[in-house]
Amino acid sequence: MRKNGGISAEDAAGNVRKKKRGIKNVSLLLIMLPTVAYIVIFHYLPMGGLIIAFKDYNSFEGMFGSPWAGDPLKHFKNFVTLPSFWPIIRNTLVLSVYSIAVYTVLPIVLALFINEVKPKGYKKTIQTISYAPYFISTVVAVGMLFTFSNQESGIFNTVKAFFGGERTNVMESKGWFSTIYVMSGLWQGWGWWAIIYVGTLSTVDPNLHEAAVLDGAGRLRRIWSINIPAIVPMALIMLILAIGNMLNLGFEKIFLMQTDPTIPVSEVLSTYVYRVTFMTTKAQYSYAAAIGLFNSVVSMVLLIGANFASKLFGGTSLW
Amino acid sequence: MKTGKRKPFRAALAAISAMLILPAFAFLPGCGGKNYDSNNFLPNGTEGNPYQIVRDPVTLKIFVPVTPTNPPFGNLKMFKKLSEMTNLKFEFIEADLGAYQNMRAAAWDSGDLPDLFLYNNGIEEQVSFQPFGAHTPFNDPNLQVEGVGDVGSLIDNYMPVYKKLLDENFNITTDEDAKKIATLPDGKMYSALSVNDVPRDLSFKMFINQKWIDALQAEGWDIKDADGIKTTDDYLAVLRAFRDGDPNHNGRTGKDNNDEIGVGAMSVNYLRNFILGAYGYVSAGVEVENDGSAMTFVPTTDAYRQYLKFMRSLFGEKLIHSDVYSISTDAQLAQKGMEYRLGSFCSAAAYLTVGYEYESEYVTFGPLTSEYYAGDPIQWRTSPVFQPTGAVIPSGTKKVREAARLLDIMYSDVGCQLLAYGEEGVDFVWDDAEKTSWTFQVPPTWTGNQEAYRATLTPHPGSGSGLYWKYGFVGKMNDPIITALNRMSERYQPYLKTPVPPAMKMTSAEYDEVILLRTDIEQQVKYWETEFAKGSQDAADDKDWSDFTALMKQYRCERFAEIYNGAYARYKNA
Repeated sequence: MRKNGGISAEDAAGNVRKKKRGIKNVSLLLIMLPTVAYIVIFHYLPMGGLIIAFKDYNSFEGMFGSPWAGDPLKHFKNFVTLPSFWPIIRNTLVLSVYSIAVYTVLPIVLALFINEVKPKGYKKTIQTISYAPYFISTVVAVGMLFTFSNQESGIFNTVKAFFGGERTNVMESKGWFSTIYVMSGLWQGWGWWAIIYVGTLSTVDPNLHEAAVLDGAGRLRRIWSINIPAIVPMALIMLILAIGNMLNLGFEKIFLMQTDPTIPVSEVLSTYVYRVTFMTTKAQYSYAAAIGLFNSVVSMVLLIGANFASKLFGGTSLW
Repeated sequence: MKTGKRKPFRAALAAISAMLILPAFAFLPGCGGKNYDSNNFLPNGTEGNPYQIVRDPVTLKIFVPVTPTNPPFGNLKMFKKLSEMTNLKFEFIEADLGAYQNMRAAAWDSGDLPDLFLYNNGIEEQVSFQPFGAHTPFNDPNLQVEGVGDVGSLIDNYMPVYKKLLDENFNITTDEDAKKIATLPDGKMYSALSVNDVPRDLSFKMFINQKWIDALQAEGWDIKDADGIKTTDDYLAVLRAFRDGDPNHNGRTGKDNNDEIGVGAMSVNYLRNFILGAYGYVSAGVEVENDGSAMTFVPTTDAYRQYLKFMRSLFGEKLIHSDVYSISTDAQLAQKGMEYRLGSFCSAAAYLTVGYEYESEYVTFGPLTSEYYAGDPIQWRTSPVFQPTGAVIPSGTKKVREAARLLDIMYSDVGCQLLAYGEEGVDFVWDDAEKTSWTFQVPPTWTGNQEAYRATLTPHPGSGSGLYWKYGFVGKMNDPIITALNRMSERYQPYLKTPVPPAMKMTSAEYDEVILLRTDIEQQVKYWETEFAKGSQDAADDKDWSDFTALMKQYRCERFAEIYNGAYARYKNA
């Protein structure tokens, strides 16, 4: 209690405790400082550069010296009125949704299978084999795709021809592009993405399984009632993050896979931005920044929406 | 106690802050402010060394493009020798071509500028930065440089070799005007030219296997020799004979077993331009009409429609390999060439595609005409002789005279030799007193190929960087393959056409608009070409064709051509 401006013994003791806690926390804050600095320097400060989306940037006058665009939304309007705007957005969404659907469900299935394998050596071998392709670089992986699907000598066509099928070049097929993109990605990342779910499953209390066995539950029943519910929160978090990145499709793989006959289904936001920024005689930085900002705003809306829906229906959310 | 505990905390905080902040300072651009002694410059060299530029060594900071082929520029024989001759030291900022635009923009943005941007200086930047006085004009008689004083015209005062070459249009037989190309509409030259008059590097080459033709003619096929192939019909007849005969004599013949490929290409690049030439245009973008009347968006012309019909014949009759659109590297095409399956193909040199074993069988042919176009044959000039891209001196540097003198030496005979094949008497030796030919001296211990060795001498391999790639010297190389290649390339010289006049300049806003339109249109043109060539659409069908032209209009091809025509009108009236 405060008496005439003085400090009571209780207050004094509390202050000492607070100070001690403060000093103790200082070390924790210090440990965190590099991370905070990293985030501020590399993630927040560069956002100032988005200003050029509203300017007619030229590198001579610099980011802040370049004149404002006559119409501040000029670059955004140029983009959304582009004849290929909707095809680009459609292609981006198709590949994203397809990827998210496959990459969310199948790694869970693989994790459930791996979890059911009891011999440790066998389990580790399967896991290693399944995630090894993850370490193959994108350039090599796409090169393999072109080699395997070569019309004359590729293994796919050789097998197909052996069974009497007609040789076709799937890398030049509009209809096959998204499936090849997604399935080759699955081949590369399946095992890797399953690791997180295998880890989650290892935390499931064995007593639950023992109790279920005593109650007469079979293997499928236990997977359905114990393992899957254990995985769902993690799966939802992963799904929300994936939805937040929906428009940020990886550039290099699509760009490497793109052939002239597949342009209508393979031109996505990132390839377009690359083309207009790096493959021209005069890089369009303001325009590219406007597309980037557009992309980020849509991604943020999707992320918030997904998080809200997840909270509403699944009880799990990022925040 | 209190202070005792706080001191380590403060010390730790200070240490961590220093760890985070000091590296940031380390990356801050170095500020100018170095002392510059104006009297150290030697405008006429010394008595013993006319090439010497400075009395005491001075460092010139040079921004250059690099490719994976190039070793560090500081290790290149050319710059070591130039440094020895001039007493200048060089500090290079090397920007990989893949990230070149970004690194260059970052240099301008940060203000940490070099003394010289050497090679790869886009005209778009010169036009955009002209209002800010960002570049030092080479021909301004009133040029003043802070700390140096009156400098005057760099070309008149410090670049006698370049001045003479400019006055004589480099003694090159061409309709291009060096001075016009180097000059912006304000009358100033903000860049030194990049000059290339080596025929083998001015266009692509179409090769065809003459030995196969001979073999088929001996079997009774009525086809023409390579030199006799003048029209698209002549060419088709040869391709059909390649397909139906067995000219590589490996026993594989017949409809389903034949392994010969009539024409090979990498995503129809260059083949497109070669065939289009037979119909009156050499590119699939906007191109000046052959009579110079206007500029035209080619893909909506009837000529382009005829081209698409020809491409349909190639695909429909299996005269071209089916995976042409998924081949994206020279090596992939070379795989077919090394298997001795290619009847014809486009390449920089035959040995690159079919190897040394078969290269002597292939000769160049064309350009072609057709029933539709019977005018003068034309072939795409991939590179103009003069380009305003050679070197740019940013305003702000005091070392303008040093940079100008260095550039002048690079245009001289010694400079051209250093750029091409190194030092006289060391890297190449003249074969006779009249200097009619010379031989490249690759050390016997060198295990790589000749071009890889050349890359240790000069920046030219890989990126084609150079100020003057001079045929007067390069063409005298004593090498049977190169000599044959030079001779075969010369056949295209009279027919070369540049789609856009190299002296034509747009405004900065026009360049921006054109880039956005082109990025969109080019993709569509490429895609629809595959649809017509592979038969999903029929160029002979009026509806398919009008649908295509309507789509191009939707992609604003008319506005695209209009911008070009505006700039072309200004260019013609200048």
